[in-house]
Amino acid sequence: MAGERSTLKVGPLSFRSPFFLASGTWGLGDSLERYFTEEEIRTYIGAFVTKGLSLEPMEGNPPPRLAETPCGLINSIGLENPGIKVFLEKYYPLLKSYEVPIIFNLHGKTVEEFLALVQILKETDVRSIELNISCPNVAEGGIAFSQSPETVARLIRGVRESFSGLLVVKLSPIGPIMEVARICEEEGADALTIANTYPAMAILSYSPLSIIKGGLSGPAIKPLTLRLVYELSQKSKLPIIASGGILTGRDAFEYYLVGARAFQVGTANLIDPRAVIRIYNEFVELMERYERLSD
Amino acid sequence: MDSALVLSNEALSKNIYLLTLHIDSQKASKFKPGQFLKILFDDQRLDPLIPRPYTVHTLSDNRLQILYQVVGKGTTALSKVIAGQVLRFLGPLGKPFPEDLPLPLGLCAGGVGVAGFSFLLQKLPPSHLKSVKLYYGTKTKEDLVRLELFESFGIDIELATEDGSLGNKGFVTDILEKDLKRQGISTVLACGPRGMLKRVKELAERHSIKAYLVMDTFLACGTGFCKGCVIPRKGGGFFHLCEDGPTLPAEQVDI
Repeated sequence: MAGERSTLKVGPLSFRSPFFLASGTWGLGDSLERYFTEEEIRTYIGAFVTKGLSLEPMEGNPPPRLAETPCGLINSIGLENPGIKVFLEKYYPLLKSYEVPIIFNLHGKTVEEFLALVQILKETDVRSIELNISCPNVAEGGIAFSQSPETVARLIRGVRESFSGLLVVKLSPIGPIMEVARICEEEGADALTIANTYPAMAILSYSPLSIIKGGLSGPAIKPLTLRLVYELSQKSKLPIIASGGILTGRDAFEYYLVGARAFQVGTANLIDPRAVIRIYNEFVELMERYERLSD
Repeated sequence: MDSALVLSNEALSKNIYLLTLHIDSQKASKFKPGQFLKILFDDQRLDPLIPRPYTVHTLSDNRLQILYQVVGKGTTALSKVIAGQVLRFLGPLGKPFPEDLPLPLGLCAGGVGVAGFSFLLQKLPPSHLKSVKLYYGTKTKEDLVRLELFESFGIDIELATEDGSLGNKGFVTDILEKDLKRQGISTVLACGPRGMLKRVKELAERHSIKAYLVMDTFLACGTGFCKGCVIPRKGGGFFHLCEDGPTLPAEQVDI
């Protein structure tokens, strides 16, 4: 695959590289050119997944928003973003000029908000979306969408009615993930991102007690997500985009061995903005060795 | 990501170290006082995971120095590097100190908060140095490191230690306050613990002078990607420290 520079197909779209930049780990994308040449962007970045976008601008959570734990990072950013309209006006035109597929990561407080976001995108040339269903559904008492397969079904059905492009659903690792994955397939999603961060907490000071609750990412979660990818790939026909602690080509390769066909690089971007290039090259080398072994 | 060769890494006191790196001179010329860099170890270590940010202490040609205090996993790991080792770094990051700071300028440093002021002094026009005063405070005299370097700039220096072992006994902000009362300072640039910065902000407001605070918080990317390093902005909203700072106007932060 990557070694032969052939294109990767996920749903209706083709990607030149199986490595995507995960939502929220490359900001709004306006500084891609500061760290990559245009050629590097086209070669190594399969897709840019936008920061999670909402209907209205969101300020995000007050500090503390981050804590490092052994081999991991807890974040509680609170979905800070300028809102879909500002993003489309101010950031999207530049991103488009990079000639790399842009996947719009969307989050709503209700199913209706998700659908309103899709309606806005319908008036544009946006052809790829990723739904973040880990966020709380205000209409159902703040329980995450991912906890309720029925709500996920209603959401995807609604999106599919008006959107024919690439529809990726980013699953939460918590909750009835197998059932949610089955519903995604039934309702016409094109691919699954496995998975979002894991609910976690850290203690920042003992006295007075200060805590942070947020989502855990980084290499600490890779064995957990690796198992999810393995199990889901046995059950679901949808292509799986693995996302969870990919720091090296070996991590991606292990996800590949258990069924993933594309990869999202997230926390690694925060360590080194050019991490995706190294990971891609390491992955290609491993793939080539593996393919020789298999011959 | 660039490479840096470790020339030395010496302990100046129990917990304070001076790291001297050799970096590409073209890269070095891009750094401005007040900016920072993130240091990565050459192996792909998982713990600590996120590279820590450090301000530039001094920079001449291709010799870049970092003055740091060992406080956690990242700085502990850094304290163990030895001459000849190769590190990687990302930078310059963040915004430089504001240009043309009105004189007379007071530099208020708490502990290793002093680190970035020497690079500023290296870059100031020599004629300005006589209008700069450094207020430098620590817990005890052992921590008042790099005094000879600061003295070499020919600036006025006043010291404070909390235990009175050298200089004035008490907080560095006490000696700053005396000069503010005398109207001897137009601008304050302060770097140190949050409590000290709060006090500088109060003093600047009381004496109607401009103050800039070099702030600190845990930051992950340093590049503006993750939106993790927020400092509340007065009147609502947040600064993102790695993009908007690390130096922020005192009157605009809500701390």
